[in-house]
Amino acid sequence: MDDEIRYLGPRRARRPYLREHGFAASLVAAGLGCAALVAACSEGSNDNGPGATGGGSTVGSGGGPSTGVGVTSGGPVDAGLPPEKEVESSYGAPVATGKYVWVANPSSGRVAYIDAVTLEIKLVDAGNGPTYVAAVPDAKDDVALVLNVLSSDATLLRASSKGLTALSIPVPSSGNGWSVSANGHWAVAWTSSRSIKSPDPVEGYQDITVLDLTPGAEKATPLTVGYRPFAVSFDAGSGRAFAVTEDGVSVVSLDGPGGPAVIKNIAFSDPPPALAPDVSITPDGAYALLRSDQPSIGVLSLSDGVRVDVPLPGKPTDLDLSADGTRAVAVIRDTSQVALLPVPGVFTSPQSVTLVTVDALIGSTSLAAQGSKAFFYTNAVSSPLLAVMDTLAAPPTSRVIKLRAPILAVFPTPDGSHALVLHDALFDAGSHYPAAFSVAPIALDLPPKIVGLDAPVISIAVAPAGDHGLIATGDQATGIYQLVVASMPSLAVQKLPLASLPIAAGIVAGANRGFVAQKHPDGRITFVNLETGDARTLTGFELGTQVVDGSK
Amino acid sequence: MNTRPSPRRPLGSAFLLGALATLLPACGDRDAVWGAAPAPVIAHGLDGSAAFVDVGAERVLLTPVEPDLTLAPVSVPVRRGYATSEATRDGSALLVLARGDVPRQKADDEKPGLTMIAGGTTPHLLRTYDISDPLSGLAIDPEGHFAVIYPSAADSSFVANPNELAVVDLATPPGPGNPVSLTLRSFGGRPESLVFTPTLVLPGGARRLLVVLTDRDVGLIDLADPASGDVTVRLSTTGSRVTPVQIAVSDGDPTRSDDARLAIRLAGDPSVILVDLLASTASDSAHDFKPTPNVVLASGPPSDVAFVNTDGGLRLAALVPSKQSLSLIDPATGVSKDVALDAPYEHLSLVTGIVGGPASGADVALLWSASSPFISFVALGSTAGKPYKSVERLQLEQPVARVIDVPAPNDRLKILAAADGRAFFVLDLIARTASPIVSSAFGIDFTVSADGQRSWLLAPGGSDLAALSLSSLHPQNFSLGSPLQAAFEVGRRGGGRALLAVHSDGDLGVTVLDGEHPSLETAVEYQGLLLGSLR
Repeated sequence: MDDEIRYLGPRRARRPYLREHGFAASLVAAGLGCAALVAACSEGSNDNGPGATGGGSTVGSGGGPSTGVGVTSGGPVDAGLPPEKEVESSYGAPVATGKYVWVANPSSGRVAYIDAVTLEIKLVDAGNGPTYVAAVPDAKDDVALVLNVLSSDATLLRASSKGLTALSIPVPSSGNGWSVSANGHWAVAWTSSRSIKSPDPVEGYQDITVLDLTPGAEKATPLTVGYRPFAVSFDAGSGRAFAVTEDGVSVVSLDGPGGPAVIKNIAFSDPPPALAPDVSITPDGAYALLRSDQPSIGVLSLSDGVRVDVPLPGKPTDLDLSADGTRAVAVIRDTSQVALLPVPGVFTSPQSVTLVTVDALIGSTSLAAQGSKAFFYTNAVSSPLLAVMDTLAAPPTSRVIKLRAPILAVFPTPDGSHALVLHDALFDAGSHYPAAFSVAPIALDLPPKIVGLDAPVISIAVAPAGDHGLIATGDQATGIYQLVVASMPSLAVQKLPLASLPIAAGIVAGANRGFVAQKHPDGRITFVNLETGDARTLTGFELGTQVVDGSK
Repeated sequence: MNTRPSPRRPLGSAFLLGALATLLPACGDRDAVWGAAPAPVIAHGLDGSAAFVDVGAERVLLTPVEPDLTLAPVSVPVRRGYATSEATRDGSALLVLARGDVPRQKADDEKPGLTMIAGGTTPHLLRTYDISDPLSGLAIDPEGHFAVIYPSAADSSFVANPNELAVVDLATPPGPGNPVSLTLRSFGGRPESLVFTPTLVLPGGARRLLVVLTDRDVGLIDLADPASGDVTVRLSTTGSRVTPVQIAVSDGDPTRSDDARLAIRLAGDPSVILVDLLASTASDSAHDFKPTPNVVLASGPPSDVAFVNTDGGLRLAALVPSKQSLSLIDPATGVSKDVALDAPYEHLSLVTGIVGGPASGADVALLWSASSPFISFVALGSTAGKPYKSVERLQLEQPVARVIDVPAPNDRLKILAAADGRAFFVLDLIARTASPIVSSAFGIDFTVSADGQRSWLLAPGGSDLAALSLSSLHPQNFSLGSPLQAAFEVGRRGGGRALLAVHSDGDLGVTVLDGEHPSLETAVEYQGLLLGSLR
């Protein structure tokens, strides 16, 4: 069920350093605005988020909302070039389950539950200040979890054929984000300091709350992890959770006889690094892959803390883990090389790395969620070159695609047959457009299509089926707000005007609808039928519940 | 389509003619009215006669006109306790609401009732509907199919429920299911005005709705099944009172059943609430549609709203005098684009069908103002960079207080009444000319003939009458012998038209003129008309 929003943002491990780009500035503004809206910023839906650990494990975001794109600089800094900028989930948004969208209203204490097909809205009372919403995977029902920040509790919302139920569960730690296990049995409320402006040095944000969501046996367990967690994930079996902190990886046993407990902390190194590395945890929870400012990738066993460093010909500027966790992809910008690391084989055979040189300057990578396609580019300097590689090919080779503007970020479709590419530095390129994107066919060697945008990009979503992409743009200075729908493989693009500043875009896969939440004091969301392109906007979610049928 | 709330009292079609001075002592078998206190007479113009509700005599006197301009009065009894009366918009019928005997103490005391009288050249009683409660408010469907009876401020029972309604299907005779009484679900409000929608293609089929505006919410009643109760759309989530003041209606694409919607204009609020009438999924509801409200924003508090067609699709047009702008709002997305205007226009009328819109199907709107002497035609197409095609302005000598439609074949004309009631402008929508017509008297009242050929003007209380040809704009003045109160042009038996000039003095005098060729030489004058048919 979480797949509906899985592709709203990259799935990579990131170190969210300072935002430093003009594009980023507009995104930050949107994100801050979101916090004050009725349509609450939601956080911590599965596997999105700054500082998230990657791979196939289910990962929660801390602080960063669940959808949209944000820009962070990533990884250790080269001496010569500026750091790579990372564009990923940073904005609060509704979450989607099945054919429904959930939106929290911190002011009223209610959560709206919208049928994306009929546009019927239902409201349910949550706690005080419901703010962060997460979708909970469930085979039968539509389930969402909302963190009520003022009452330090969570409301578990379950919509079934029998109706909508709400269950309150204490969350003594409170927090600013959720991580939810892939099987929907566990959720962790935690606080990411990285979304808190100027945190006090003695604020460690070490309290988390583990929720057992088993129907009829819901329970909360408060726990303490290392200093300032920046990602929380689960292993594939949902037997353990991992809190990635500045002290290392705190391992939480979920299914022990005494209930959830922190059973150990695996330090990144001895002595500890000055800066926490970029961390990816394998889906089985066996290893953590670490990227730091050293010319190597650290492979850390989460069972015994043994670390193996895999030497590389230069400092990696990006690291990503395939969804199945069988291979890691590192980018060495100094040498324009890609390092393919077999996992877990590289732990015992560090020399088993495959190096591929790409005929373009590259520093960042994005992996297709379901396939073996990897995309490489740089946004540290203006470069229109996108390299594509099948990481399972033998030998792996790259194909370089020349786009028509410098690349900022790449969002592949799940199967990697297409990619949405955001462009950057358009002014430098002589364009009057404030933003642009390209739809690049990858499976077929066809020319990409570039599209100028009338306002900066705020959020991107790619449909799980890979047939549509949504790009939400907006500029409060000009009052231009648009939702751009890109269709694949036709590469057709439809621009739909919006009534107010977008917060985040998403896909309701079960309804074949896209949505874009917008800034409005009463809550506003636009649904677009991905088949017909028809758009419909709902404003004032709570008003919809003020309709009283006298015949009932 | 733009529908305004029905006024509680008919405007311009009914006149109170003063008390009937019948103070003679009762004797023998004279009608009881001879001994009754003076009672008012209310006049209405119908299709084929004038109707005078003789309250004291509990009857309606109807005056069809013979070919020779003589009257052939017909008296139709109505129930006791006159409450109100109103003609259907097309003049085909008169409805008289009576409260009956209040309180009813004897079995033969009269019940409250609604009497329906045919308004043609052979007027007669059609039927009387029993009403369960003695209520005084009456609203008639502009299409003449329904009437709604509701409590008015004049009702002063010891205990009253202000949310009781009776819906009468005027097309069917009285019966167990007609009228239907219901009580609106109330959240503290009471009905303030009623709107009958045109036929809407809803998820369950085509039907019409009755929209009830209270001072804080809006109720929807399915006129195909009023007994199923109302659906109330509350307009505030915070408890603060938001008052609906106008309803606009769109059926959308007639081939679709999911795009009918209402727009609710709110008093002093830039927000307009759109209500999409979508399919209901509730199994426990008797209604197959579900109102889904949606807030859109104009550039300021609008003074008038209407759904319009543009070449970009349906839009809600909201006229914002404070910003001198017209907001065009996409009801699907809420996106608003403003058309800058040059005056604080307060009202708009769609004139597309008359002037012939552009090939794109976009509407043309006439804008007018009671505070500015300008009128404008806005072509709602779009050209590069603008959400409209053109704005064409005319300057009048005075602001416009009222706009009166002219029936075909002169429907290209509209009569604009100035606020002082002395000047008029005959606006030609096609030629875009505005011809002034000036009177020496103030407070002029006028009617437009059903055949669209002429307008009749008079100053109530004065004895002057004028016929204005709407083809040539040539006025023809007449001075009648006694003060006038009203004038009704009706169809004559055997064809032709007649003008009934009603005198307000004494016991009802009427001067009958040839409507098409008015002349005092052929006019027929009646006095004591009410007395003439009494015993």
